[in-house]
Amino acid sequence: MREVVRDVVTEITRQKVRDDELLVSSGIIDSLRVLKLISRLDDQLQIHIPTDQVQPEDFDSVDLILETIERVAIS
Amino acid sequence: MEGREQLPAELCMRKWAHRVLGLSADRPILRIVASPMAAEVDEYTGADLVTAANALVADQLLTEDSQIVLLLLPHSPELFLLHLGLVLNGKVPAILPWPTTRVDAEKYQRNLLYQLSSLPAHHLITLPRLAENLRPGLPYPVSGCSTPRAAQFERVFRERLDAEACNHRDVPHPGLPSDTLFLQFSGGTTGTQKCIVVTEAMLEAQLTRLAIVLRPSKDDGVASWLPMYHDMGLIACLWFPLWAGIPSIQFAANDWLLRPELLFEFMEQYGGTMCWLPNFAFSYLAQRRGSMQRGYSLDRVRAWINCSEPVRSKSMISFAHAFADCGVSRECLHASYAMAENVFAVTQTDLGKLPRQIARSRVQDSVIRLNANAFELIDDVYFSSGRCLPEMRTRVVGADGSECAEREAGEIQLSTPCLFQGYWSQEGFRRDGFASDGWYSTGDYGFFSDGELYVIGRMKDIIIVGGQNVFPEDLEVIAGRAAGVYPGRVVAFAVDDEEAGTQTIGVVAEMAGEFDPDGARAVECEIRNLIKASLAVAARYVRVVPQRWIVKSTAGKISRKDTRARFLAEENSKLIETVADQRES
Repeated sequence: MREVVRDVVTEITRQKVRDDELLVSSGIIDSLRVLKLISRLDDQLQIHIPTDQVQPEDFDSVDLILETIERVAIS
Repeated sequence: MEGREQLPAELCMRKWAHRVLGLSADRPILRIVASPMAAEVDEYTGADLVTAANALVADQLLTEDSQIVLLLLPHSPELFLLHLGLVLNGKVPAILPWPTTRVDAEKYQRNLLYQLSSLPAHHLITLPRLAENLRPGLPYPVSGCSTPRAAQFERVFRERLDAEACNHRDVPHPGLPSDTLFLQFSGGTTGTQKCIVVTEAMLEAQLTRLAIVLRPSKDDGVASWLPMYHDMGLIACLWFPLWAGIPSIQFAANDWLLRPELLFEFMEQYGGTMCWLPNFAFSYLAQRRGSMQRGYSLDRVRAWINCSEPVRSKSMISFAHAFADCGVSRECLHASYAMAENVFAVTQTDLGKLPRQIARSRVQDSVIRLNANAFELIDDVYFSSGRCLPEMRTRVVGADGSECAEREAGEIQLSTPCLFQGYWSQEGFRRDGFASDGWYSTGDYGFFSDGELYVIGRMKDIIIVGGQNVFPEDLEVIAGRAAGVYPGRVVAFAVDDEEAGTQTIGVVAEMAGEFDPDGARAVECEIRNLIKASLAVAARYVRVVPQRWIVKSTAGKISRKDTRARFLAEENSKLIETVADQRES
């Protein structure tokens, strides 16, 4: 799963990032693209991330994205 | 403003309270959604609102000499109630932007202390934990006010800040006009510290004229996710409906970002008929149409008003197409030219009529002569911002100060009944930006055609990020503080985000000493953190480069324009390589 998340993040950011690198709060992913990131994660991982249970900061790094998926995603 | 008779403050506050009570004493006038998850809406009638606002202000135990009260709170009923309650009680509130995403707590709080201690304030109200951390370092009292979801918002401030005890008194500042209602910070950041005083007379002049052109009725309603530190959120979406006696529903920007369809759900449920949005929101909503689960009944909406950013025809058309099946027609898409310096609106397109557009080829462009940065519009047409509101005067002037001809572009100047007196500072009202005949030079660039104003660019290099003004000079100073940056070798500029329909921030900084990629990465990270902590905005592109990378003019001065062009050329090359790599893999 980590590999897929990394690929999606690379696709959205158009650059390689470290797993602990801050994405949203640093501006690498602006807040308007968080929803696009969620849609791509849903598609690539065949899951559903309920957007009423998350905040943009839950997607602030690859590590946090994995934690968020673990916490709220529905398979 | 000179010579206007001013009413005693107490009478003004009562007048406002009587108006709200009289129009809406027994019916809902304000609804606030603290959290869409909770599915609860705090609903206030006019009478409830005044009672709740007064009670919350009483809880804060403000001293009599606490005149200016800063509010640093996330979206919450408390933020709305305190703003209104402070006004009702003759205090002068000023709303500061709450950080919208995770921040480096230590840097953010230290920067806040630096900025807050230089503001002319008498009291700060913020979340309890943050209040404890900031209290020792400020020259005025700080009180804590809890809100729904406070624990979540305050998580980042759990660690106690070891703030140095404040060893100076409050900033001496000149007196405010007796009918001052509240302060607004232009651009929405505390970094710029451009303080605008809004008086009762100014607000009334704005709202009465806005009502003439928008013709609100008892069947109207407003829905908004816009932040209250921005004039569009505070004036158009809160004060205007209160003044006109029509209900508004308010929810958080972050909730809208992740669930843009909430706007339509609330408009449907609560009878929204007017909605102000910045340009990027039109693009964003259109792009999200495919993932929205259902259609919405939006045919009651009579005005979608594009404001605070340059209006782009492409954004408007894509929005109309995406939601045509929900009842959105192009006749309902409107635009307004507004700024906090004028309280809010200067112009407005005619409701019920198709807004005008004009081909770029028909405009005499004096960009080169004026050295202005017209937006690099992807459209080949300009979208009208409409006619001036009653008794508001606007003119377009060329480089020699003479008025431009029809469809000749130049700088936009204003003379209106609600124009500010200048930025309020320790020296009083600063009149820079005012011409000798009292007209205010906006720094915006545009033209008139058939009596309607078209705004097409900026005279200055201001970057407009989601409707928020950011000054490149501020970004350059802040980035220059990062360890490892060559002193004075930083350039900040706007990068157009075509997909989002807005601008983003680009920063290029030269590295001190020998360049190494790992070190550069660390400096980039530091610059991003400093910008976020200082201005509460994120820089999308930050690049640390070897020395002599930044482009200079032949006169040896750093060229923002040419450095931006070099940066964009390299970014485009990188993008092509990344796409090629992805295809190969």
